[in-house]
Amino acid sequence: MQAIISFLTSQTPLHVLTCVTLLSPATGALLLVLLRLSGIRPHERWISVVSGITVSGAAIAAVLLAACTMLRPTQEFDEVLWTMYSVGSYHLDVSIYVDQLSAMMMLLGAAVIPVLSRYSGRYLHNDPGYLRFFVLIGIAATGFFWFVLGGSIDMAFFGWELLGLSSVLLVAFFWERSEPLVGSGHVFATYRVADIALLSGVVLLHSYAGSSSWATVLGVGDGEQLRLGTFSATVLGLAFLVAAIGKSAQAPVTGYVLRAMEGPTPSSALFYGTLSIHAGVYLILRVEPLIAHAPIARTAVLIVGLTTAITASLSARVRADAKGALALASAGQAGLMLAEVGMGWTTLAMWHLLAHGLLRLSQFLRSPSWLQDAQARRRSLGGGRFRTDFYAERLLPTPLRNWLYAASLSRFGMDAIIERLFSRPLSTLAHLASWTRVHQRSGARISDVCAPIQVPRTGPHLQAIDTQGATR
Amino acid sequence: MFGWTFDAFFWAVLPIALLEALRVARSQRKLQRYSVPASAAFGVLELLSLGICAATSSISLFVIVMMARLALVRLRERQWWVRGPLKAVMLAAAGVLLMIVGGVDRFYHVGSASIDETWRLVIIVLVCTSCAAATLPVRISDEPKETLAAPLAFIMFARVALPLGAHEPWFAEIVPIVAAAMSFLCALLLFSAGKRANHFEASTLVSELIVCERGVLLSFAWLGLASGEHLASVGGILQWWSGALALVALEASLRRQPVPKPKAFFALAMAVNLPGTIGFVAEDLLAHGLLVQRPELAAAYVAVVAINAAALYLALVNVMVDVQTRHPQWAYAEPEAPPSVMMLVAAVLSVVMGLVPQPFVTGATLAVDVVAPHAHRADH
Repeated sequence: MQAIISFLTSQTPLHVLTCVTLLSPATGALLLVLLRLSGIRPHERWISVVSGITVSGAAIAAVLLAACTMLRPTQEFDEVLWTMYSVGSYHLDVSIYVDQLSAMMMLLGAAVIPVLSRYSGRYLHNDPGYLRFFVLIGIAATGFFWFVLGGSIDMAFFGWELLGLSSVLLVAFFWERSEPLVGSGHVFATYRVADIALLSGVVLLHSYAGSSSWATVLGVGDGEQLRLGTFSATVLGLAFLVAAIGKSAQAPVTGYVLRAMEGPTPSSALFYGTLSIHAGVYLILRVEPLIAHAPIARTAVLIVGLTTAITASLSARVRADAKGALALASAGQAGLMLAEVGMGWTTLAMWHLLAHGLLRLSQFLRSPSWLQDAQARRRSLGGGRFRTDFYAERLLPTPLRNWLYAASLSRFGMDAIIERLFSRPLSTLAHLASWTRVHQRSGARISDVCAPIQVPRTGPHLQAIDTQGATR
Repeated sequence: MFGWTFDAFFWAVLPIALLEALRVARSQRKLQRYSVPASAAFGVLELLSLGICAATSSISLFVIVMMARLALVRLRERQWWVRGPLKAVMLAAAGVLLMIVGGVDRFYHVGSASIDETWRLVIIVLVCTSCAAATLPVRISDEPKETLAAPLAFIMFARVALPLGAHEPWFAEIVPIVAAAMSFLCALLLFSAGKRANHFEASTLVSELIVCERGVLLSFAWLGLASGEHLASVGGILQWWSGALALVALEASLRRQPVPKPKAFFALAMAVNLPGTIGFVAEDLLAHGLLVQRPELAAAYVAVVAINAAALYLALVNVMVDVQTRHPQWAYAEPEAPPSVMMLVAAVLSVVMGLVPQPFVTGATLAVDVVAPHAHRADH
């Protein structure tokens, strides 16, 4: 037994498991893309089988990797796999770092992704974007595992961006309608601000600490002391907090999760119920040793978390649609987790994250049949009426209750604040800049200046035109 | 008589020249309806002219070929326009001044030439103005009167302005600020185009989108090259490549009706430097390099990166949405778009370079060592 454990915790099996976890979903997505490019139209069943095998393979490998790492005496696995590129003394390493926190997050991903893949196989039956959906799920799984397993913040950033991109493209999944496209634009803009905050954190971390490896920078690997001063830790902590705010839909950008609900339900469950919404919390948990040395950043984390928890929970209570209410409730819970980190209760936040992720997954996936479920539940409890007698809100004075209701409906005016503080000044600036373009000042159309957009010469599109013309 | 320099910078320019040549050949075939041999001939001529300009060490040959290329483009497109000749005249003037005032006809002598400070200033300003004119968003049509990646202006900047600027302390101070301001302006113009999309027809919006994005990406490359920091300069060269690929992909995907959405979104991913593309490597190196030397420029850079991404997405969405709302129902059914060679080439190159970046980073490093040997090398 001892020999088996020592073999399992040695480097070779861990390397193999790591490679399977990181590369398997990407391989599945690539295979599907190549099939599509080659002109083959695989049957739905084969698409879901390829996706299911690759993401399940990654999930099993992730679970084994987490288990094997926990069997190690240090309960950590920190390894540089290869150097991606180097210029002079600067180099970007592909490295992994597994500890209790990443093991727990991996377990969440491993539990969620195969279930969603299986569920989506039936949910999206006969949808024109069936293959595209599974490609994006593969990319999302790849991004998630790179983010969680990344041994340095550079690797985490790599996964973070992939996760964001797949999320945005899944919001725009029904792109024959304009609402999902416009909604995905809002999500993309918010994510991009979060990305840039994280990128700033990456660059600053390199600058302050000379390294971006979690183990060496945060002193979480071998118990080294932090090498950063309070100022540096504060600046970094705030940069990471902004990134987390964007990714985990914290105040004041909570409203974008409602636009993100334009995507199919499985993708909403994956991103806004389990993985993406918790990515920001995971980031803050990861850099908690750094935030612990920065009282200002820690206070900011607490304030943001509490504010979101209160506002998003209240807003969720007045939402009329199930998915919107769930998304806001998820953001509220993520806020609570941030508040827990701000209070220093990291273990509680970790367990909260795991439990909440699993609960939301089931709630999101059942949301299309929510009413049916409620009625079935009522019947199985012996019938009767829904609860109508007591609500805590009724204890409040009527004017306050009305104000609270209106404020919750408008999400406490946060969208308007964002619009006023950022979007509108930028629009004004852009409008002023566009005055430098002489031909635009008149507002006249200038279609004669431009070449026409190319129309395909064959295919159903032109046939449709011909038919239309013939009918006329 | 004419010397040649097949140095690392030439090899850095060659892929750009190849892309431009491919684009010219495609345009002549698809839009001007030339025969395949005639289109290929135009492409080869473009490659030859840009290749000679990159390979020659003779300033006079550079000026002659640049002017000959101008005449060729006039012949090809059958019309005159303002910006191309203006840039060419400025670059030619800088070259002639170098030969007359500095008495040098070789690019590799520029750094050691004894040129009066005033003339040096004039030459640098001429080259930099030409670069600025090349990056400014001016409306283009699908016909490539203009190059996408402005190779001639950037060759002159790297071979003339950088060696001359090494003697001027203000050069590394001011030029990067100008480049950053240009990128900000272009990002704002892109945002403006996206916001006011309803004033445009789809084809006009696509043109706006491409020229503004071109301005942003080329400004980033210019910013990196001018920064005087080794890492950022390497990032600048990589950004130049990545920008050229992204612009080709955007042009190849957006100028179709209906827009092939997967391709358009992939082109967007390339343009905003997402992981897995070479742009990600360029962004990483540029940000790190700038932070070492000029933290304020690094902050400006990341801000423009954010604005650019959001603005590009907004404009792209408006291209798709407007096309759909302005056409009757039959336009909704998306036909199977024929595979676009340019899109495929750009996407494959970008992903391969992004996943296996070391050879390309080494190539860019060697190119920077040639054109900016005195760049500041921080200990990272």
